[in-house]
Amino acid sequence: MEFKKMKNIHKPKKKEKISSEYDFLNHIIFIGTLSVLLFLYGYFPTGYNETTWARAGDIPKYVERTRIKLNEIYVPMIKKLVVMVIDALRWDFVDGEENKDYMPFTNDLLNNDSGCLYKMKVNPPTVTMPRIKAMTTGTVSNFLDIVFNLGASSVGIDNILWQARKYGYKSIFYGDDTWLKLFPNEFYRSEGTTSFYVSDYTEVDNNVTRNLNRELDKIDWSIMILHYLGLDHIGHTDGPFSPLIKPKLREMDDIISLIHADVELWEQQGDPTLFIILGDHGMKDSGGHGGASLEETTVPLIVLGRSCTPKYEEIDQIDLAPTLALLLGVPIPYSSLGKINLEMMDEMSYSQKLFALYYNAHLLFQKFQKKPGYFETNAYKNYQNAMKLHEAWLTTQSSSNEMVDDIIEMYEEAIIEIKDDLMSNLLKYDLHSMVTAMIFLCNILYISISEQSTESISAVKIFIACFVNYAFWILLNGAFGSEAYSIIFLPNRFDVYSLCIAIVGFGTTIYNCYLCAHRFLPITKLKNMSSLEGLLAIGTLGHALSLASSSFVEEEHQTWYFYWISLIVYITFRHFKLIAKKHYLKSFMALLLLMITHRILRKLNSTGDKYAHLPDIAGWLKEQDDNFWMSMILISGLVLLIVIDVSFQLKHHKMSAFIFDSAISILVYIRHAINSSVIKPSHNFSSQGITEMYIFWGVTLLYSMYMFLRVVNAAKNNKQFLNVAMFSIIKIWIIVSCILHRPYNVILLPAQVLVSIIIHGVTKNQATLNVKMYFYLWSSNAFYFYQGNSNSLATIDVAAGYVGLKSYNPILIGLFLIINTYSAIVLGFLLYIYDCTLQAPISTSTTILAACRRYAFWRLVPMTFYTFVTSFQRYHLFVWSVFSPKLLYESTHCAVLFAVMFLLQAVFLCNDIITKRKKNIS
Amino acid sequence: MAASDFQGQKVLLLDSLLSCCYFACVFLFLHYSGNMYNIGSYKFIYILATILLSEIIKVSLNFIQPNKSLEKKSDVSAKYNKSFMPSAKNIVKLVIAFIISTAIYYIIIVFFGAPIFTHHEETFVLALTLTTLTLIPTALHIGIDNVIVILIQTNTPVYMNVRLVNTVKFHVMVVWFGTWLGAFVLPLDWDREWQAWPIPCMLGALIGYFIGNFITIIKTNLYFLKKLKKSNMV
Repeated sequence: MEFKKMKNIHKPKKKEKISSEYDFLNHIIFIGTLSVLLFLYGYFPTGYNETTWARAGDIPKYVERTRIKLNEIYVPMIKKLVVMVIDALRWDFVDGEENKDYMPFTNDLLNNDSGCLYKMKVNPPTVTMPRIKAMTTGTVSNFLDIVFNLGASSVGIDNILWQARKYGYKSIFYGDDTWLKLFPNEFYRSEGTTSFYVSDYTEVDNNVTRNLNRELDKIDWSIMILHYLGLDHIGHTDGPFSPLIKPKLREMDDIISLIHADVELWEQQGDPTLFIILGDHGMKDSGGHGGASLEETTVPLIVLGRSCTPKYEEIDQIDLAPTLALLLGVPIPYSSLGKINLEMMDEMSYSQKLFALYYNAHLLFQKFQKKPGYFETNAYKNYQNAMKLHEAWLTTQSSSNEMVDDIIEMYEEAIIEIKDDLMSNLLKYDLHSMVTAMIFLCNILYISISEQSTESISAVKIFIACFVNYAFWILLNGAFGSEAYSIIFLPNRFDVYSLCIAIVGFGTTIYNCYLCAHRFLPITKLKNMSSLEGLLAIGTLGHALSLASSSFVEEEHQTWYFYWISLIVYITFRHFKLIAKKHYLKSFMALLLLMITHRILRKLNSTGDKYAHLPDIAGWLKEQDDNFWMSMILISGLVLLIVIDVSFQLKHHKMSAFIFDSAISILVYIRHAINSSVIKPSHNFSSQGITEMYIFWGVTLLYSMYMFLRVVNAAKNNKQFLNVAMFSIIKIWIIVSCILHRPYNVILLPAQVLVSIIIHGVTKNQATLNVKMYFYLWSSNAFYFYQGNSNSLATIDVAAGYVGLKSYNPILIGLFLIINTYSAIVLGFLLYIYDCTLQAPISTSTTILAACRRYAFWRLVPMTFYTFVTSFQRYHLFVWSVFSPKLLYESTHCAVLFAVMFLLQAVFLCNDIITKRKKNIS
Repeated sequence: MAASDFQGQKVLLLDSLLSCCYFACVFLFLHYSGNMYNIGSYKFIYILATILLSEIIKVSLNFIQPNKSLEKKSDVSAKYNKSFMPSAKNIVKLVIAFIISTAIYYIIIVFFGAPIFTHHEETFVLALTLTTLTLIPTALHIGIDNVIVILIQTNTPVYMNVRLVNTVKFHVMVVWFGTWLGAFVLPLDWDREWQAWPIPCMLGALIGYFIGNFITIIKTNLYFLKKLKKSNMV
């Protein structure tokens, strides 16, 4: 009904309408992808992901042209190191005026000048994991390095613990098990305690102290790291002003005095020892942490055991790694951006100090010189001058102290300036890019839901659209506060590059405004929506909103499973009333089958966060020794696929389809048999599956060509071109997914096709295509999670990337990973389009393009909302563990779907040509 | 007609008022006896029995009233009224329907994701609760035969009291919706004791029933207000 009305209105300029529908879809696809990329660019600032690990040879042997005697100058200053991390030890717990009696022993030591207290600045996010990384690597952790690790949470970059182990130091660790996750191989002895139960603040610490007492008697270790969690737990439950704080700090003080006694003992025995106590992050007055407020980012650093200059020097957390590296006599971690702290090295000779500074500056300068225009900076000049004077000092050995002080000052100035510059590229979110991306997304969201108005366009409307965008831009920038900083939009210098970006950005904005002004929201359609459609729309919207909560993101699969079964039950209930009529019984039984399938498949792979450990079918299958059931499930999946395919082919294609399908199925089976995950038919496979994979791709290629011929044939004969083409595309997608999937996941492919067949049957008499779309949208999401995917990067099946590959090929691996991960999502979309084409003769390219546009709208809704969530929650406690991985998943999801939509347009274009020709003939 | 409508509204108001009152008592009892988190165990069956009994008492109270004022009806309505009679046949039918309904609820709950091999007690209690809150009041109000008629037929038959049927249907919907909504908090990682299966769903169902009745009270009150205004204007 609706459709006919629309058609009548646009009949006079139908041709124009078709082309503009393509334009709109392409606009959405391109601006959508661009905005997502722009947002990612702003959200994950492009720092460098250093993978270089410093070696002994990296310590410079020359200053300019003068050789250094490294074995005299670069030597360990300490033999033992004790690091005591007290989680959430904020600055005023040690230094506060009224808190003097919190840690009496420590304060006594500090007052006697037996130790030094430094004010340490930490970078947000003030959460334990990134802070530990900052302490050990000397760099501000960049989220992307986790991505490149594909979810493995261990530190992938150079760090002080690795260096220490290489140089024969034995490290032991007791405390928060985050350290053990980050450094699984670096510790000689260790025991972790989980910080799972926040309400427990005694047991976690007693576990550490118990081990500490034992370790203090042993002499086989040289680095001991302790991480006490109790204080943080009190903070989380009771806040920093709780009466529990004082006894806890007293307890910590007792431990410090215990260790300090031994440190003095070792010192007398000739083992110089450094003992440092520090907080990894602070605590807000309300008790939490994770943000960037002063209370969270300022922590104390207490240095005991070695002589130091007791100054109220402010140091950065990332300065710790290079300083400790120098003291231990190991190379500075390559990724380190820190500045060594000379106050902690009072016992060093001048030549040692100067060399340490030179080494530090040299390392930073290696990174700095990658920046264009570095030689114009003050830092460069200082560095050059300092080096020249340093060399002069070395050659003349005129030990004038003033000259040394000058050199030190020059070095420090250069180091600080370079460090600040490097840090600024790492740390800040590019909020201007983010805001721009968000506004673009909102624009295309409007474009994708609205209808083109028939009225002529007016300048006033465009102006209003521009004004709304501008106001929104100002508003969002205001909401994000004073951190506004941008590499893209506010460059320091004016050049061609920034001009291009400005033109592209501005042009897109204007074009968006133009399109928005030319469209209107179909409110009347909204009113005419059926109650089912309304419910489905609200449900989908509800899912998008649920992403604001980290718990819902973690357990997103539960939302989709629940939605999907709710939808089936609802439809079944509606059918129940019609059951008396005979043909409804069949669809009722089909729906029942759907429910049972759902219940079984949701147990196939336990996923998510909280319940991921629960036993699942896949786990059970893997445990079986004889692989019988694994083979059965793979074979039944493959057989089902063949049966479905053959039964849907036309009569004279049945035979060829059966032969091809069987060949491919056998090859799929062989691929798993070679990996010994299913029963082997014979034991002599000569190759490691490479040859078989070549045969597989060969057969697939042959099959694709055969199907292509059929499509061409259909085009020639004007027979259901769209239909045949979509069928072929779906088949190729299933074949490729089939080879990449795990053996137990292959069954999901026929299951999803079956679901779509049932959906098609059930929604046949639903007047609009819209209801159908929600069915496919929801089911494809459910299948996506059946497969074992989740919103943690750890569940990406990396093995799928290496199927049949001999060598490392990043492009193919990436492609395989994407196909395997998003297989269900894309298949769902393709099936939806196929279902639309079955609605012949109503469906033309135009209606299908409109369907695509609506599908794109529902993909953009969660994406757009999520960009807002992540922007506002960028200092959230879980930004690393939940929000950022989800953002990456959402973005990839969008990109994959848009890419598929873009490529599918070729089919629609061909269809247009064919229909035109048909008309000309008739 | 207007008189009987007025009468019907009065009955509805009284009915819902009573429901709300005894439900408030149930909640208070659960709260103060410290059994709020035990509602998933077999202990809760006592409460369900209480609810069942209260429903029967409530309906029998109402039942006497409208019958007095109802005028003579046609043959169809005689048949309609017959299904109210607490005959042995009807009671047997009700018991069978009760068992079937509980079984169906149990299966649907498992489809929705309840554990299959564990937590039988919890799932069973939820199924029982849902039956008690949906099938029993509906059957008591419109008769067990008519429940089946409504389930199978798309439109409400003319001989039934449309307003009553719609209200009862509405109550059932709200109970379902409450249970459905309650399930959302189940998987989240907040580690609260009220997140244990099936407490949120049970609470959703109970609160849903309460809210459904509460909305009916408001609706009938609005009806009376309108009536009052009309009569004042006249």
